Amino acid sequence: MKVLIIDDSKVMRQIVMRTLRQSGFDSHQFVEAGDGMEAQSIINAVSPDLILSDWNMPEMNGIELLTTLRSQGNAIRFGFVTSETTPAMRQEAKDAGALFMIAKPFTVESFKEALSSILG
Amino acid sequence: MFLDIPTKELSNQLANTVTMVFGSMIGVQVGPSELIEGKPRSIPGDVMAIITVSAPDSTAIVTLQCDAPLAKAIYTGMFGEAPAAGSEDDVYDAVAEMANVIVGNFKSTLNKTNQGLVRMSVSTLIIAGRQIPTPLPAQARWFAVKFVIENCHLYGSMFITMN
Repeated sequence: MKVLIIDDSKVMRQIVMRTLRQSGFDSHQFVEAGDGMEAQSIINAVSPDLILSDWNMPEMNGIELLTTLRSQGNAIRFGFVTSETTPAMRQEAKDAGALFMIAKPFTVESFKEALSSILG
Repeated sequence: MFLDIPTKELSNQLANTVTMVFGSMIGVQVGPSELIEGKPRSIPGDVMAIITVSAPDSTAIVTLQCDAPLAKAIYTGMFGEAPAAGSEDDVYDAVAEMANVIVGNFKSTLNKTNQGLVRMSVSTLIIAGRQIPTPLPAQARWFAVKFVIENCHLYGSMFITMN
């Protein structure tokens, strides 16, 4: 599977990829984007199977990207990895079509719990 | 929102969040913290991450400042190896992300009773010698919390103004 990791922090993208590998998902292909705007062109180019996105980013944030994708009829599997996780944000994410929300700081266990059913 | 919360409660919550994030993200124990109150003033540090949290009635500018050795320790804790020569920007990015996680969790804790109304900016970095420091509000309720982490200092501060 192709997994697109979107975060405006290069360091955090690297940590997410490392945690994916530590969680046993190292056989998948990882692609990166720095914000929602950049992600759109990458999605069109590589058609990822899963998106792991930060919420708070410049240019286009995570929820704006998810809403845009769904409005275009794109049903790609989408989850958030974010430091802000209020109940209201979880509900907003769910309503927009997100499958899960992983809170930063995260652990290998939180990745396994959220992703095992998707990435095997 | 911030106006209604006593400084002691805000500073305790910030200290708890810093302790939790440093422990969870990089496995580092944070020493006792010290509350500093009074007029807004500059505090020392080679790297400063600034994040604005906007509520309907008030705005808080949260800063996290540390010296270069602690910035490198944060990077090392995140990756399990010291930064390579020439990777200063990655070190500063690590500080910005640490600040993002701290302020995001801090905001989520405070926002439990005021859900959905509080917004958080992306992190802006001020690096000594690279940029002119951003002027921070002189007329604000202000406090800072000083932490000792691995024999280095970290300062978290909040400037709170009414909208």
